[in-house]
Amino acid sequence: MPSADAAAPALTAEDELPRGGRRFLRELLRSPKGLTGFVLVLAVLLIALFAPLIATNDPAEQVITHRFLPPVWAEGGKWSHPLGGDNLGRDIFSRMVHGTRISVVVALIVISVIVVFGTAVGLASGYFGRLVDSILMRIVDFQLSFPFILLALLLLAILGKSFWTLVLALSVAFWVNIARLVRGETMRIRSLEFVQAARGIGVPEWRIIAGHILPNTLPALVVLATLDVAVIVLAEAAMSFLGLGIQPPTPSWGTMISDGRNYLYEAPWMTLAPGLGIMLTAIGINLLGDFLRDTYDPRMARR
Amino acid sequence: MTGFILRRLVYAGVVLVAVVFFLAVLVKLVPGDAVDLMISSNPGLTAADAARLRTELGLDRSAVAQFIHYAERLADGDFGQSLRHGKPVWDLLSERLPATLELTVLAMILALVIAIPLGMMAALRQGSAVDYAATVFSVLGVATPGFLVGILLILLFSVDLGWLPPSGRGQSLTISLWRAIRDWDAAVFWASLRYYAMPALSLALVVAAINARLIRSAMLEVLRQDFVLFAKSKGLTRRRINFRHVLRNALIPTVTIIGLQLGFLISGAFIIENVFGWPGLGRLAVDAIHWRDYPLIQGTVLLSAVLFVSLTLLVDLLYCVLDPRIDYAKR
Amino acid sequence: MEALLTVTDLVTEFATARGPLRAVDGASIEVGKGETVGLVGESGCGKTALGLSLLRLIEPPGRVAGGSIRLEGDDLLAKSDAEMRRLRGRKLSMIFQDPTSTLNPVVSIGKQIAELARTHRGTSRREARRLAIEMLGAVGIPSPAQRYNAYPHELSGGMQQRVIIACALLLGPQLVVADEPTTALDVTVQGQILDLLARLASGKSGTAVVLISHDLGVVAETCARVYVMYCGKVVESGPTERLLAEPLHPYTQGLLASIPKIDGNERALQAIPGTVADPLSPPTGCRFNPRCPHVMARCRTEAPKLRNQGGRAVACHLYA
Repeated sequence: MPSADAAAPALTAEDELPRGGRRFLRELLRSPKGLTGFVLVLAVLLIALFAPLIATNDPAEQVITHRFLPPVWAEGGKWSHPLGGDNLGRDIFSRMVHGTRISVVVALIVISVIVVFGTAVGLASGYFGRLVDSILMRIVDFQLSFPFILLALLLLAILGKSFWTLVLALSVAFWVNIARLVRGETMRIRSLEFVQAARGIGVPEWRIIAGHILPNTLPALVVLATLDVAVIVLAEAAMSFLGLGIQPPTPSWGTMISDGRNYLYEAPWMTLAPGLGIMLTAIGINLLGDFLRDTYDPRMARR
Repeated sequence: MTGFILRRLVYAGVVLVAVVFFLAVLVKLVPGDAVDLMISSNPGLTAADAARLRTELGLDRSAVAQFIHYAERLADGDFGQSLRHGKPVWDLLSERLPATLELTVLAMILALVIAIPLGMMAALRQGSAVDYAATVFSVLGVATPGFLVGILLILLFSVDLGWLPPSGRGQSLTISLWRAIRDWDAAVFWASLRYYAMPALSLALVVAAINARLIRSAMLEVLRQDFVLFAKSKGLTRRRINFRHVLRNALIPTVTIIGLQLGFLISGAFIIENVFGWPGLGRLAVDAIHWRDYPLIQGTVLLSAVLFVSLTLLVDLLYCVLDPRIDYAKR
Repeated sequence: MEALLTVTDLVTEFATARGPLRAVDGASIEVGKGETVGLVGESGCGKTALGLSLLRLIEPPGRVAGGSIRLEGDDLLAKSDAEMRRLRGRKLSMIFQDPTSTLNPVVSIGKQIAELARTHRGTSRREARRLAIEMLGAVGIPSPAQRYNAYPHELSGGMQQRVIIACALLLGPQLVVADEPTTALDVTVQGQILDLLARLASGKSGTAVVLISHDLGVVAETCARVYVMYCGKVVESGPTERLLAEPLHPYTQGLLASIPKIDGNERALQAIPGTVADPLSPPTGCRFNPRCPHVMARCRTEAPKLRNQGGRAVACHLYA
């Protein structure tokens, strides 16, 4: 025991973790960080959901007179095209809004895939241990620090550029972290008394995993999944920027930035708008994730 | 210590063998006829080229045979022929490697120069303005993709201010550094640095933002340790405590953090190269995908993997120097 | 005996989520020049906090909130940080409980001793090294010159503690606070360390030692006088032999009674009933009252004062 800690007060039982929807709302309202994150994420989700209603102009429509149209606050701007036009005369605002939809869709699909797959692997590895564990963990360890771009490049080389290749590449790159976390949690929970007790009275393995272990991994899993969504959004943007992700004419923030890169002088807002969109989304998700971590994962909260 | 290094070397070897295996075999998984796809993307190729490709890639053989065939070719120094460029892959790779290497190393150095002092100060002065600034920096840095930082820098320093060139590499930084020292003329070095500044900085800022927070945490952990209290009880000066006792111990988890960042660094370098028109492996690779130049992709990924593994090994070596306990603890 | 250290009504508190916690709540002790004094109590009674307060090593969220600590008449609490730093290691030093975590794992043991001389006396590197090797020898480390460059993890716990003692005594301090110096060590090694400490402290010009422990046995061997602490306060004090032979305070009696005796015919271990009081909301009146076999009505409302009785002091209404 560190001597300094022995001098400090020994805290009694940890405060109860908030459970249930009402307590979640209460904690959320108390935290400026959480609230900001939540609002940002909600805004993004709503925009994605109601995209066609919000942006009435066709994102793919090219209008020559709108080439490099300045945004509404600059001279010559129009309200009908609040963020101006890009190099092909397309409405930037509309593309932004529809791009939100694409990013959200990709992120949700990828996160679902990796959560399901990663959790399955993590549970198996953590629960059954030994051979299964060492094999799986070797793969995980290897992939964990390996540059994601190389994996993505390989997959693209083989399968060609497409939406589903993108989803696959992102899934392959990011499932590992989840697997590792779930494995760790599974091992921790498995050794807790109530699980030993359940095994002792002969509860079937699958029931223990599903009913006891899995629910207890959820808090940490939710936190990690949330933070991973931000990483996925950024990675998708990077891939699209390189032309290896979402293919035109589908608008994506990454492709928009790539398009705008050559016209930084004439129309900087072509790049700044989607750039800001990415940043706000990622910041929002990170803040929300941090808030969730502080609230639900007390082990990490003591910073 | 030798046991540790040996183990890491073996592990690195295994990783590389696995990579070679996948590179050799993966081409079989292409839906449709791989060679046909490649030929159609590169109009300059003939039927003879197609046949050659088929043998080269070993498409008619089993996976294991393919792997051995590829390994043998590699041992001979034959990385294949680029479909798009018509040159040996190795030539292209060796042209581009220094650019990527310099960029990656420079970015890592910059990132550390930013992150270590920042993290250290944030930990030592918890709750102060520095700590707050470091947190804001981290939050922003984690949310901003590297390529966006690059473009923003271009917007500021090239478009608005006109100080720095928006693309290109100029002369190799190492060479110009050596020349500057040899001729005692700094101008050569600065001229070269102008091209490196923004690409390296874009990459460095993102990595630094992630690391600053982690380093701060690592330092806080170390500050809680008993030996810090003991050092204080000895009446040692603040400086001595912070550097010899706190920092030297915090370097160990810091090196761990750096090690984990290497993959991210290389990925980032590839992307940044495409922002700045940097003549490195990253640009080569992305182009190769567009042209379905499979031999080139193979070579690029392999070389990058080697680069990654080597850097990781270097970091591991650094561990041995920093931590005298290394053989006692199981890595 | 001339008092070297006089602590009067020391209050050390920690800010917690549930309000301030007084780890030390008005404790007073006195240590004479060259005297070895024991500070005894269960975990959480404030003895470690008191020890750390003596060197002003209490850090936020803790602080010394009241009282005075006089070293040769000089109030340590009034000193600036820089002045305190110069005193630590030189006139006041400390030995901690767990030697494995007390030594810096990445610096050689020799350097960890030598840095004391370099910092406080500005000695050259070579001279500091010589002094460190000499000290390593004095604490019983074999082949000190070779061992100078050894790292802490290469040594056993007992050896590590010897190195720490070397650090504490290198510059001949007037007072050493030893916080549970043997608790983390094997029983066989414990005696050696205590002997070493006693020997080194008595030599030279006599270093006073405040020996903090929960183990009465340890204290019985080495200390001339003992203070017994409970819940942040001193409840009894006196010459060790007399206190152990004839404990006055019911808590001290309970502590002694709970030590298993090899020669006794007891069948069950006698524990003090109840649990240690919660320092955040201690009982009113005498803090020991919920567990005291001799409790009276008065004990629940009125806190007893420490009263002297011929060289001994006790805070209990039984003796009011």
